[in-house]
Amino acid sequence: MSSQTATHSGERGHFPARGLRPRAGTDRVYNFFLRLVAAIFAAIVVLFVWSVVHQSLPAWSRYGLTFLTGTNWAPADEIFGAAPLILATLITTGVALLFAVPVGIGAALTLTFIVPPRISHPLRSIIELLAAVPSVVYGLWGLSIIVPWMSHTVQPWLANVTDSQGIFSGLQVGLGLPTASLVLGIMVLPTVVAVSRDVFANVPRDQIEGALSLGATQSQVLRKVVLPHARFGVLGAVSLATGRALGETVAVAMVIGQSPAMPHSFFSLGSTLASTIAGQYIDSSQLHLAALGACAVILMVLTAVVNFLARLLVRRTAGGQ
Amino acid sequence: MKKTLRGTLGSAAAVLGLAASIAAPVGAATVKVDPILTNDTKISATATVASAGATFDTPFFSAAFPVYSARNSKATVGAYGAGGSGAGQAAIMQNTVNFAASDVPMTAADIAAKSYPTKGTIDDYVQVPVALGGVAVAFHNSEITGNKLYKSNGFNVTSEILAKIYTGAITKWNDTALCAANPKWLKTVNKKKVCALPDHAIVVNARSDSSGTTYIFTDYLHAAQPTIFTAAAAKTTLVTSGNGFIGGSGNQGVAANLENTDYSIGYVEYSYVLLNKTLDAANVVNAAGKSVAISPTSIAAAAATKPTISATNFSIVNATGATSYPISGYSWVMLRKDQSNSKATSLAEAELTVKLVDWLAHSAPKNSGLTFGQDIAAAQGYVALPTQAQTAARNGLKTVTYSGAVVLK
Repeated sequence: MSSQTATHSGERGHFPARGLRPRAGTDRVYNFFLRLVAAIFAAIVVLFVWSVVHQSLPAWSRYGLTFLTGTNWAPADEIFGAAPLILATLITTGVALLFAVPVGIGAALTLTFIVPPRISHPLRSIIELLAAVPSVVYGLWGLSIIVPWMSHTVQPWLANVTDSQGIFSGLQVGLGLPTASLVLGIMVLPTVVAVSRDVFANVPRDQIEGALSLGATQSQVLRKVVLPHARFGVLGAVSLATGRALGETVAVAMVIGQSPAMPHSFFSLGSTLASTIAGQYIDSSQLHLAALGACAVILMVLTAVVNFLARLLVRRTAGGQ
Repeated sequence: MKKTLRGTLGSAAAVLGLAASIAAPVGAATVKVDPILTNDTKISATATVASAGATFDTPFFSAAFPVYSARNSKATVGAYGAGGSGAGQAAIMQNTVNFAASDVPMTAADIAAKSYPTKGTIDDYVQVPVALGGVAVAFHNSEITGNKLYKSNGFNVTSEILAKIYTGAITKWNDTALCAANPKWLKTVNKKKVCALPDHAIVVNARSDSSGTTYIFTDYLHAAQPTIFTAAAAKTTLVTSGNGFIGGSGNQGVAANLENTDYSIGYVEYSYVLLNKTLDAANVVNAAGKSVAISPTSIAAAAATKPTISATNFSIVNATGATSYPISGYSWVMLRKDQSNSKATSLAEAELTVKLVDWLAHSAPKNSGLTFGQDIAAAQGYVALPTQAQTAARNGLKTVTYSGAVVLK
């Protein structure tokens, strides 16, 4: 796509297309530089992906698909099975979203339509601030507050109630998959709230008022007018949160226990793809580095799949309209 | 945290105290100063050196480099690139640094594994010891440290106990082996004396990153208990899917996990136990059967049992001697034997490289009023290299040449 059409479609309705054709000399220079920066950007993306894939090649050629299915991650013995890491990544992200999506959308609806502006305005600023807090702060908070709470209160209670049977067996150390999921959920919550709230605020006023004038109740308006109208945007919020949760490194590394074990109990320690890469990168052997590169490739593919599914969902629902 | 805490303390000490002692050197003429070290700042022209490698040495080097630069107007010592031992080895093989540091000396196999055109062979390198340290068996167990028995008896572990904990054979704090190693830990139940150690599972911690600390620790477990800790002699990572240890990134990561988890045990570099009040170091029963606390003295005692060390024979774990702390080890500096075939582009650069490393590896003579590398190391929580190791370093450095001529003289 040329920069001309890109600019055209981006600014549709503001300029006539003809106005963007380079006419004067300065325009040509300007046009050239636009193309140049676009080319630089494209080159960076291609080089980046290529270098990560290239770094991971020794691992793929040595382990093949068993890299994905192997359940043992033992760097010292040069055994690399990433299944525990993939599972931990999917579980923590999934549980985090189960918490963050309903709570986040509910909170966004409340902020937009139910609470009066004098309360919702300050709350909005706080939520936007929370969405911008660096993840290491959430990690520190998780380590100093959630981990002790889990190990002293939640886990002993669960073990007591269930008599330490089945998935509630094992050491109660506070760190682990549930703690990481909870910290992740709380961490992505502001993102879900902030983005969804913006989307809800853009639902046309006349549609809402029209529904109200036809006698719809508040909950009917929210369910039948606001949510359907805002679903693409909300989906965007969810996929943004998913991306953040999948790739979150520092906060997860601090509370998950960094132990690449297959999840077997509610108290299981774990290690996600991202936290493993960060935790083991320094001083690694060449094959170990390749394995970590392969983890990065898996992570990129997972993120791409999430993006693709979100787009697919948007397209499908849009088509059905 | 490691770098910051020790680095900051040390740099401050170096700049304030040590620099002052350099400014006013050599009070008495009776003190005999090594002639090479007296000339350590004499290089033929201005030069710059670059170095990289193990994070173990970061606090030491970042405190020592400014001191050396300050006393040598011709020298510019670039900041240490703390990218890890592996990164250091790669850098020296590619001639992108003048010298590199590694927790474990480079082997012929390490070089064979790489494909750099400039890598050469193991004989192209000189490797000298530059720092000495110990690995503490750190534990967090409020029930033990809160017991009045702890103050009088401490808490002992043996190599067998550690090997069994790290292979999953011992899982409880009141395991019979632990009770046997701590015979004074007794309480009376139903008029019988029984083991007073907590009936609680042990939470095992290890480094999740590849580390020299892990190398020394596993080297010890295998040397002392080859039939229990059968895995490859010395590993640099211990956390696997199978053992379920809590992994920590860096010494600071393990220390943080120990701090947060009661009933946990792990291993960290000595200074982390000193810095962290929640953690205690267990006494380790050494090869002579004596229970020894970790300290600069007991680490030095272990080093003293093996006066002759080399890059191929360097392990001082499980040292004999009643006062030896058994989990100790050296850190190493490697440089090119032929400086004409190195990063160095001038004689001055080669001179600076060799003289700086020589200065780093030496203590100042007593009462000389001078400050050398090992004095700074000792102030940073390392243990000064024993005299023999300093001599070994000197002898190694004396083989370094530039255009066929010996550099250090």
